[in-house]
Amino acid sequence: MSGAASGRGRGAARSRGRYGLASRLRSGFRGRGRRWELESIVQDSGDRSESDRLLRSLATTGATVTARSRASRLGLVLAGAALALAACGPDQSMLSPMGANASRAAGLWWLMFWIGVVVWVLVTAATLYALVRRRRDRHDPLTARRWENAPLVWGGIVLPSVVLVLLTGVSIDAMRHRDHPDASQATVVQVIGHQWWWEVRYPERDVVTANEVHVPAGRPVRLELTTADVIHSFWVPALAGKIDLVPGRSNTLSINTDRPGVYEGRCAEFCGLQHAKMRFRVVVEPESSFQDWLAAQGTSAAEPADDLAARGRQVFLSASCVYCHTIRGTAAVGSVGPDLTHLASRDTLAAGIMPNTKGHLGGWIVDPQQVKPGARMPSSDLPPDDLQALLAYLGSLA
Amino acid sequence: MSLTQGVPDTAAGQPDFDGVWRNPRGIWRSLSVVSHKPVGSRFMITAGLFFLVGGIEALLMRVQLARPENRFLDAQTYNDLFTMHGTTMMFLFVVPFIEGLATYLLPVQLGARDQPFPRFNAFNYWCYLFGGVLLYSSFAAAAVPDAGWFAYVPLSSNPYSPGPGMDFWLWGLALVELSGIGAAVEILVLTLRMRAPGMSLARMPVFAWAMLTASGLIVLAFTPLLVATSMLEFDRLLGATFFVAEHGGSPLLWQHLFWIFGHPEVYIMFLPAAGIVSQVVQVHARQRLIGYPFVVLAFVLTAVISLGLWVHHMFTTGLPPLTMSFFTAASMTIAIASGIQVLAWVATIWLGRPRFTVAMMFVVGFIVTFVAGGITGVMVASVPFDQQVHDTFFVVAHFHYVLIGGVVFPLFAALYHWLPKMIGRRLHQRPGVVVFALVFVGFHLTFFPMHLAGMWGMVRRVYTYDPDLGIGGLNLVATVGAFLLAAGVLVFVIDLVVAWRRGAPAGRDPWAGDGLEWGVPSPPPSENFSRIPVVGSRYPLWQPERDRPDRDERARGFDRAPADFRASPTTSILLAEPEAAVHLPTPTFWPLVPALGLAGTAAALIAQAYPVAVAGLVVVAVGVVGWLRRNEAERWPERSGVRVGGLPLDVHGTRAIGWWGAMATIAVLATAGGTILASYHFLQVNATVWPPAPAQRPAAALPAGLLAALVLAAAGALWLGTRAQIRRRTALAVLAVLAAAGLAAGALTVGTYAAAPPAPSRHAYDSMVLLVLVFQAALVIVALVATGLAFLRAAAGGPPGRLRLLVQVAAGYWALTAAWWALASGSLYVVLVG
Amino acid sequence: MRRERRDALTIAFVLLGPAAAWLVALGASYAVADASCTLRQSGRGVGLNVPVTILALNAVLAVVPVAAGWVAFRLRQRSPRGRRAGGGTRARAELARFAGVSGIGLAVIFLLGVVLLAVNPLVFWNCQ
Repeated sequence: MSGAASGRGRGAARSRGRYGLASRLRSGFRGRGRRWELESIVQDSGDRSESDRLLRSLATTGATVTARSRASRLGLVLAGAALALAACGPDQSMLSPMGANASRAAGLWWLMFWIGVVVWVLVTAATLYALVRRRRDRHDPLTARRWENAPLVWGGIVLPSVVLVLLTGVSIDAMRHRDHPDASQATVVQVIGHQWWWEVRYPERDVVTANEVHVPAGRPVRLELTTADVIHSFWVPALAGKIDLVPGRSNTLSINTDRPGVYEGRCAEFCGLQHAKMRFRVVVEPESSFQDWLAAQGTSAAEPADDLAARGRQVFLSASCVYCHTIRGTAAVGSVGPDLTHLASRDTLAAGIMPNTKGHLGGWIVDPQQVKPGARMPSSDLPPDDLQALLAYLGSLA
Repeated sequence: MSLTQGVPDTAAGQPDFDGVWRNPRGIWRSLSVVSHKPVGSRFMITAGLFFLVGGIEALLMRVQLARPENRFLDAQTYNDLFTMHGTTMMFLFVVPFIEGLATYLLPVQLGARDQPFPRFNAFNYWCYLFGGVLLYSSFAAAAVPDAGWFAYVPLSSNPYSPGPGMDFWLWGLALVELSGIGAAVEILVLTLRMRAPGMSLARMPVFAWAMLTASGLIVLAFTPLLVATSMLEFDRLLGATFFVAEHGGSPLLWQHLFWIFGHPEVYIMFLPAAGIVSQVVQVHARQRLIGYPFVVLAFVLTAVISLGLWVHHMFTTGLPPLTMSFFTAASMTIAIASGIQVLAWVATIWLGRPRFTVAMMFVVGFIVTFVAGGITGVMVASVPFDQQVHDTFFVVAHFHYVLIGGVVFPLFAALYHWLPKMIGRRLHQRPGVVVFALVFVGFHLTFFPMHLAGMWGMVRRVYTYDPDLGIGGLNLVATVGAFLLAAGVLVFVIDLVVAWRRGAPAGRDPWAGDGLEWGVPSPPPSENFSRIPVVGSRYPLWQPERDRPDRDERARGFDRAPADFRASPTTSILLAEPEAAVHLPTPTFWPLVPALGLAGTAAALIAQAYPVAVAGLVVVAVGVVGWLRRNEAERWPERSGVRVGGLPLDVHGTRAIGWWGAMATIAVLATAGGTILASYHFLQVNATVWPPAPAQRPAAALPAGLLAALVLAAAGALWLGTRAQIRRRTALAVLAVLAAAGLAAGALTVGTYAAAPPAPSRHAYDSMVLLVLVFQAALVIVALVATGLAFLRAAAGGPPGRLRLLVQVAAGYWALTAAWWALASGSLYVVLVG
Repeated sequence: MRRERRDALTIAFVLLGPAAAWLVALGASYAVADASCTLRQSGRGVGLNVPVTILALNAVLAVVPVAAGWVAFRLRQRSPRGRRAGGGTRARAELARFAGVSGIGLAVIFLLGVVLLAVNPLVFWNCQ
């Protein structure tokens, strides 16, 4: 059952997304406590297909799309088709579960899949045979046969009842074992949905970030999910089933995994124009690096290290940015958009849709409507020098 | 105002049976046609056109999704398209098409000459057409609805969907729902009361059983949606707060109400399809359906359980696990019903001698596809698994397996099976095989890969996706499949047009069928049966020796008769013993008037042109009055005491189909009222404060007076309605008192409002009180109209049975109004919780 | 006329009774479970033993399908198959047999449905 999915020997490393790994490699793994990632990648690349995949994802990454990467993107499509035939999915799917909740769902899937296959094959075979079988008896459409209703009673009522009662039992049993860490034991993370990005808060440490949920491996995590506007749904296929963010309610979701890695997530409930581009990632890291990260995120923004960055801060504070964004330690305390205090520590921009590089950030600031039409962020017409300074400043907010 | 005018010419001139049944021709005059076959055809053709439009929308979306990060459509257009695609296919195609098919076919299958209320039928069609046109005029206004066919709040409410887009959706849908409920009432009364003599419940064609159960479902499921859409329109138009969490409302209320409609909706579409398959399979396998009682049992099972599945669309909203587990258990139970049906069909093929007709191919394609869709349906009933695949393409794949495989394939089978009857010409076998191959292969190419795409992480309603998901290939295959499927539909349309123009004549009975429809010419004449058949078997054409047309003199009385007005017999529910004759109305433009008025009102409300909306309501009122007057004016055969085949025309109580129509309407209103009260208590339990402050509860004296007035009116009407003889003067006096009591009740409703006007934007409690009072006022108006009609009837004199019937109907409405107000007062004034 | 009315009530009970009972069982079980959880969350808990209430509700409602099944069984027995009788009687026998067979099936399946509902609170009960 679940063995069929996890038995393919997938390590945690292959759940690295397209941007995370690449941008980290480019930036020389800046930041603390990231060594474990590199190690696990190296360990896992003994698997040949795995290393191929890594190379491919590297090739398809980058601020500019080259012809070569376009070709390899086609390769990826073909590889996807091949994988479809092999009936095994990509890494970030519910069929390669990495967390307790997702494992239970995958286990149920394989049980129900095989039962379903048997049922479907039986019915189809019976139908086709019924169509083509040789008839010996002369036949009157109205003849009543003595036992003609027996297949309906046994095959239509009794047998399905048994199977369905069994499935109900298994399914309810899986629900019963769903873990519900209470707030006292688990790390609590608050996730607040916005059109179209995610606000992430760690109430114990006063940490606020966006579109990236860092959690410790091997320790239960309790997510408390609310929304600031419409209904969203928080879904990380490899870790757990989805849960909606409903106005007026606070829902909880438990994440429980001991496998470090970066897991892709996305909004699953239609939430308006850019529902398609409301992604996020869950970074599962060992306890120590999680604590380091938390400590770093809890600090105020770094002071500008050079003149350019200092000028950038000036630009930020005098432009309309401050109405929506907060940079702790400065006068910017807007609450409409994501908190930018540690923007540079994040892997992606604009709710997980592009890597956090200088080029992308620049493009996003100048014309967000081009990248993500309808996004709540207005375009800006900063002079090139100001923009460069701003980018330098934002790039320094590690 | 006199009710005695308008006796048709035929009464004065020579009796002419064919002339009575002849329908007006010409583009303008044919708008007055009310007969079931033209109206049914209009339903089907209109729905077919909407199917093509919805299909084009689907193709556009498939092109956009063919590759990751495609820029063929922008996000806004894509969201418009998937909203309209879902809405079109669900509301404008499947249900109206099926209702059209049933409107056309059922009277012919059951041995009736028309639907019970042909003019109402025409009205339903106009409502449907105008609703669809209104919905699509949003394209012209460049305000296409874009919040999805499920329109979840708060995305669909004012702050997040400003502009008229969602108003087009709400009002267009309201008209279509009204039409759907109306058609369901027709079918309920038809199948229960107008079957051919001898066609007992145990001999009814399976399709009729399917439509009976589906129509019951429509009444119980469409009505809550009508209430929900009204509440959303209150939120949007009046700033009410039913769904606003900060003001005591709940966004989950919308989801509950929507899925209390939405889940049965699936079975409203599937049950008729199962009925079609059951009928097609027995003719094309040349074997009576195995296990008829089991199949009927499965229909009842399906219909009822489908009402108790709605929460399984809400497994991710954070409900308590015990709540969800009930619905897992229920969802599993409904699969048993599908199991019974599938085995019955397979057993029928097994024991029969199947012919490889196109209809049969679609049946087989249906079985293999529907079983797959049913299996994935069982899967998504499992909460932990559903929490993974919910709102992904896995679910998209699942429900297209059920809706295309389970409904559209049977509809194709139905067309290949019954079109020869309807157009009088055969469709071609060879193009038919091509159609089947293209549709079947195209379908599976399109939707099978979606299961995988969903499990690999492709969520629904996205205009594009990330290349990294590795689902580009799957989507490309799906797009190719969609075009194959579309090519199949195109070939079908061409073949249909060619066959219609110069196909080989079909003859009466091209398939050696079993049912009454195969005993009449193709296409059937306007009156269907010049002699009313008498049925002695479940398969009248296969067991003609059991039919006893000559042994029933009451049926013989209908042989090419009556010749001066349209009539058909009514029979008892269980054994179909002839009980009375029903006078069927002739063509008129009147049904068009209120439908136009409603459409105008809706359009004016969308444009926020309130004076025009009032004018529209005036048109509605004029139309209804004109229509009712015309109906009463034509009651001359009843008044003259004519009997047809010894059966009385002027009947009342349970013998009159008017009584059944009124009871069905009361059932609809009761469902609406129940939905409102259930919503009230749902909000009460969910809100932290309810009511916001005790002082806001309206004072109790007025509602108590209201209740007293209503009970008085109901009691008076019931007393009058149960009397064996009603003297005209007594009737006039009692009805006058009734009307006075009713007016007092109306005044007290307004008084209750005025004494403590609720401010709907303050709190959901106020919104709820407002809704309760508005609904109460509507009930009082309906009851007053019924009373007024009885009063006018009494004033004009005339058939005593008719007067009794009208009084009984009025009594029913007053009783409902009183009962509902008693319950509503209990809710408003008796504090249950907190 | 009177006989037809009695038969109509019997058949309506056989075809719709178990269905109605199941629907009430589901609606009531859902309402009790959901409302008590919601009220508990907002600190307005009602002193109700939820599992016992649900179990009792379903136990009472289970009587309906049992009774309907018994009536259906009697209906079916009352109608010897293939009886060569005159029109009305044959139609009546046919109808009784049809309603009997359908009714037994409905009773059994809806009883199963009610039991499936009733066991849930025994398996687990919490609001999270």
